[in-house]
Amino acid sequence: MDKTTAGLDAFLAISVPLTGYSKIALVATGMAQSYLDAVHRVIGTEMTDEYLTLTARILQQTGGKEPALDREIRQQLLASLKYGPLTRNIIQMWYWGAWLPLPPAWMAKYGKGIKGNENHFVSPEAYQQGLIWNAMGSHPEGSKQPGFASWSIAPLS
Amino acid sequence: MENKEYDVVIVGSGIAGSIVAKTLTQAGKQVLLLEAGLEAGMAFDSEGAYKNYQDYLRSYYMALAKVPNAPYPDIKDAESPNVLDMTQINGKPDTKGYFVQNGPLPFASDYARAAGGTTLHWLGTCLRMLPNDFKMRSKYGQAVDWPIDYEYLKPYYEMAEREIGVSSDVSEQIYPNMGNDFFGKDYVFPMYKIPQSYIDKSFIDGIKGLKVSLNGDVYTPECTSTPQGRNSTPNEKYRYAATVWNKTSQKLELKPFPKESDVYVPVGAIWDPYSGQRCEGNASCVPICPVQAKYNALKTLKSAKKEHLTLLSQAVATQIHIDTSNGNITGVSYKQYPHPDSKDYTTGTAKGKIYVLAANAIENAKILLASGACKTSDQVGRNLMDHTVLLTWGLMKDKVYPFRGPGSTTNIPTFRDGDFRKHHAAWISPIDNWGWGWPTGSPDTDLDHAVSTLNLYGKDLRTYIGDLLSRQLLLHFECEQLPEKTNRVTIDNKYLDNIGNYRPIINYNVADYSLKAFKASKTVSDQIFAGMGVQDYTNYPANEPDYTTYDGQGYVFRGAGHVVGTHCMGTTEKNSVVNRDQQAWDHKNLYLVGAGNMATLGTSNPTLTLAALSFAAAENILKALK
Repeated sequence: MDKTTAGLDAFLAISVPLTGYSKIALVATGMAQSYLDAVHRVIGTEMTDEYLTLTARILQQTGGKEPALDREIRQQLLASLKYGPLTRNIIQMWYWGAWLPLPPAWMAKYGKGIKGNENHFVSPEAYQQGLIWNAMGSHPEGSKQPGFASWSIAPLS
Repeated sequence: MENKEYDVVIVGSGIAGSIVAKTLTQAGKQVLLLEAGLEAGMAFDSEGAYKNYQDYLRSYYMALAKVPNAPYPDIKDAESPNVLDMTQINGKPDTKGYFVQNGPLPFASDYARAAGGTTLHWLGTCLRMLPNDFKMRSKYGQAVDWPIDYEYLKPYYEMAEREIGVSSDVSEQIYPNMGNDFFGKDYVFPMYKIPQSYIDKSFIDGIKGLKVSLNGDVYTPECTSTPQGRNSTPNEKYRYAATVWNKTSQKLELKPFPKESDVYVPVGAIWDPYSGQRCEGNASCVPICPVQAKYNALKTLKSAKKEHLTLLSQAVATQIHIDTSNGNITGVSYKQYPHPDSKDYTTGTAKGKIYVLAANAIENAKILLASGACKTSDQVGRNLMDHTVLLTWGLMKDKVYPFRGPGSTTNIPTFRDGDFRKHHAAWISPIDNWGWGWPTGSPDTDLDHAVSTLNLYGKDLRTYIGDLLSRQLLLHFECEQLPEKTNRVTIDNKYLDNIGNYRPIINYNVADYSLKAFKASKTVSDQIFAGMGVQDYTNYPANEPDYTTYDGQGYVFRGAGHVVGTHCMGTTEKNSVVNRDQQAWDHKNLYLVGAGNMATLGTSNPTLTLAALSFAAAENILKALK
């Protein structure tokens, strides 16, 4: 239990700079645990722990301050052959609710034997909680409907 | 059931079959309705209907590609076509999906084989056809004239608008060459117009005063609110309670409300009359309205007179039987499957005095061909039509916040009719409310591009998404396709489905008449974009399924989901499958209903017209049954 909670905290902590949303906004989606579970499910516990140890170190070493944080996220995560695809998947999972297939080159090098890497929505809720809709001033199509005639004025927020 | 003879046997519970079933049962006739789709889709009790619909919704949420058929069960024993199966055809038939596509171009539209039919995932646009749409031959020297005209259909359009529950303001409905009495004196729609979108307002403001040149003529593109089959605020001036059969006059009539104080009540969800009484802005009409504020045919079927209606689901009509001595139909054979994907089935034959095929234009053609029916004209399966849709898209200068509201709330009717129809197709231009979703797969494709190619993350990503997706503009140019003998549905023993029924084989192409309209409409789009300062992102990649070229330019068109033709009505048994009464020329007790009867397409989405025709057919059937 301790380990899972620790993992969740670390996952949320790095998700804040990765998504551009506050921790409270991410927690409020109710999806953090599901997304972390999806990462676990596909890449396994060992690599997940390794990844979250690295992200925690980045946050600690930079104190979460720019421009150091941006440099470390780009150099250690996004530019990394191993962690880049994974990081991009986590970002897109928060925004769209779906797991994207890790690319074949990544699978060949790091993903032997892993399962569940196909493109899929994590759950019906994940689709409805995607951050992309809020980012564009809308709501998930088919859910959280804003009411009659709401579309005829600019979004309120 | 085997031994019972009904007054009428109907095949299909889409809007055509449901309107006929409702009208006949309310007039006291005994009706058997066969539906190929799943039993669960036929649930009309609150709990059953709600649970089934929530299953549809869950499938929609989980579907990666939220295409028209995404929410609905994919049944092997009564397969539906899927737009995801459509690819370029290179020499040999493409058999991947339900259709066998012979090409040269793939037919790009689908339909749903489920209770309620394709109205489950229609957009809901409810435009009447224009008077000249019925006289393409005499007016423009193209295709054929219908055996009926706009005046004939007008009272039935009013019935269809009541049945569907159309929201629109008559005063804003101005179309080219509509004549002086298009709607009739004092006519109003059941509900006021669906509010136009924020995009519409920006677009209307941006296009103000713009003149565009086409073929040497100058046009001022006008924008008008689009009539829609979704619930809005009732218009207190609307006075009709129901469509009823008047035995004395032998006519269907719109019956006024009994009391002055009565008002039209929007028809809500089939599981709860108070749900969906207004459009709530889910922005997912295609493929599914979560609250059923958008009309679907289950609403009509639910209001049929239950005591007179027998529903048989999971029953796929395979063949009609013909008495060779007089041409009369003696029964409809069907295969009923107990499980959606198993090879098991039982067979039965349904018997009635009159038979109605309402299974969608392509399915109707299949049944007729399998039965050797309606052979005199050699027109069954031919004249398959669709609106070929050219899309153009770009970024507006300011944020207009798409991905909200119904799919389209405004259109440009300027090019729906005119002398140019002597040379090329007319078109209607809906302004789309859902960004670039259709042509590019937005919004998730934009997200992937931003993250994977632009290397954005965090606040920069959020800002980029907020800017790009809130400025997306999409225009449709829905071009009329003329009936062509070679655009057709056939069958072959080589291509059977899971329970041995025929799969439709489709030969399809687009003639110069439509291609010229692609060129013409693109010219108009270019002028609109330039005139409004829209950054044009339109592109037509040569690897798209329906990529075609005209006059040295490449175009990609899409299907509109408007499956029309295949058993067109006409003036003689030599040139058509049904007469003006929608009765098969060759079989007096067989009526064909649906968009298959339409002799030409015009620029209206066909559902309202086929609904109006279905009321006319129901009236003719009641007359025949007297």
